[in-house]
Amino acid sequence: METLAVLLKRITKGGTFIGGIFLIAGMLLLMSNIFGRFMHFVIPGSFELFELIMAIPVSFALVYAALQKTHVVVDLIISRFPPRLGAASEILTSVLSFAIWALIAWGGTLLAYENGLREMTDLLKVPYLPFRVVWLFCLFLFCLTYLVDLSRAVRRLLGK
Amino acid sequence: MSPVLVGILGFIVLFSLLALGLPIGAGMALVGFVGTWFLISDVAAFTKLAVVPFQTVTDYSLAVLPLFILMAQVVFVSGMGRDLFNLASKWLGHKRGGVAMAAVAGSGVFAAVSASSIATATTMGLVSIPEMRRLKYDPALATGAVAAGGTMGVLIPPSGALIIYGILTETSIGKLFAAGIIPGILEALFYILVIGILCWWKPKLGPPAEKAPLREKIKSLGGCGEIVALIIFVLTGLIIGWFTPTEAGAVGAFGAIIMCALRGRLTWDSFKTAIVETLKTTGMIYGILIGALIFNVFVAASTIPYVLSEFIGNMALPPHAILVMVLVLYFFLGCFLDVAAMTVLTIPIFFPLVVSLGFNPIWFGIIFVRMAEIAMITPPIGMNTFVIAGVVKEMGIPMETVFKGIIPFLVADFLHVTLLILVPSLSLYLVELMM
Repeated sequence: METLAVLLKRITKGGTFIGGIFLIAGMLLLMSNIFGRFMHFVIPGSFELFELIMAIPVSFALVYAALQKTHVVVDLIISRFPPRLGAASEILTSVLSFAIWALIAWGGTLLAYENGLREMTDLLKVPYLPFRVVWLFCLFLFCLTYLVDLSRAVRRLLGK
Repeated sequence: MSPVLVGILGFIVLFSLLALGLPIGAGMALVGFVGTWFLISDVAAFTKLAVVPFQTVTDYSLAVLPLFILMAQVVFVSGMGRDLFNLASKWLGHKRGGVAMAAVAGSGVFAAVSASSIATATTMGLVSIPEMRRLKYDPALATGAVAAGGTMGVLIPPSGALIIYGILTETSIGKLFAAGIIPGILEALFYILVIGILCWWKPKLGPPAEKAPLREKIKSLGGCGEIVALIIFVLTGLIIGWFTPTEAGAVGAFGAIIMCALRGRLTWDSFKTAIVETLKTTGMIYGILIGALIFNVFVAASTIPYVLSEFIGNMALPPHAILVMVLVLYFFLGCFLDVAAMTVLTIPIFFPLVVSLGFNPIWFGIIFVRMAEIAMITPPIGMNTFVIAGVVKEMGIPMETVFKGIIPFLVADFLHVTLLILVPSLSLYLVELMM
């Protein structure tokens, strides 16, 4: 599992780099759009292009936040748990988190499979599929982070 | 089982899971999914689960968040917070309690670029508390002023809390931003007044610093003039209608990058840090939002908001009495929940109620966000007080001193909220200009 954790970290590091590039690209696209509007020049489909572009940084951001343990948790009670009870509680929450994000990934996969390349933006006719694939890939990584957490919590519970 | 009972059970299960440490986003998505399945159908539940998350990550109006967060991070890593404090300190520091006033004023301006209360409190805490310690300020006043001043990051636009409120209630984010400006400025003035009164009453609490010569004062204006200009440009453009809130976020981020780079404040490494931190915060917020939007379907299906509105409507209480009850509940919830949790868990229930009582949704957004600000400094879970306690730990100032220090500012908070309730035009004046 620790090998998987290292691998996840490396992939996510690359992902944040790609996400950062797309975030800046989205920002520049909006800036060009504003500039164009003042110069009476319209960038066709900039709105829908921006929406698609932002799917990439946000998808990788979700995984990165999970790896960095920044997803918000109310720890008023669990912070007072003894270590083994804390580990048992983490096993439960890791399983539930994994389950719900895996369900979201499964639903998203079915939707992507059904729509295929037919689902396109209104104006530019850009297919959603590549962006859905990135989103699903990130959901897959997201689920893996919970598997790593689960394995670590089990080891803590067993006192290893 | 009636939908309301299912809804109540859903909330009980959700709170139990959150207490066990389940991330808020995952908890809300899970309970929302199971509850929707139970109340509507399995097909509806699966469809929402498949559609809502991707829709959320590709939503144009939601993208305002990462862009404003990027702006804040760029300003944060470039050390502009120190310049803002220096500017305020040069102009106010020679008065009794002047450095604490400068920390509040600096926080107010920094809040306008940071969208985050914690970033504001951390930055101002790091730069102002050592200066106040040097001048032998009372530790409670020094830490209380910075902890309370930091909360302005929640209200003064661009504000992450206002954006999330706008998304959950489908209220215009641009109008919410406009509505937050005057209350935000007033809040800073209230805090400065508190410091002034305390130091007038007990001068030893905040001894004056040496007066800066006029040349130095004018020089300090150059340290962060362009950032102040950027804030004014972004907010004015938003109110006048030059750009949408998302575009305003792009203008803010782009402007901050260019300005900090031209000043030589933005190295490649600090830029990378800003991007990574932006993604970290973005991921955290989107995780909650995805869960909240799935959960909202369940809350609507449970009919709880409508039944609650009807029930309270039949109580024949004046609307303001009900509002005060809601705000008192928020105060107590704020003692135990963080701002994000409080927003996503309560807004789906209370927003329809408050609107059904005839209150303006934008005005209520400001009042709600003020309560969220108060939650940032009330024990036992006051994030800003934790942050400041961390900053002053090495100075030997205990957490109790920080909590003691925020008491006068809490009084100011309650007076400020009362004023905003009694005079709604303080929040709505700029919104009406946008019409």
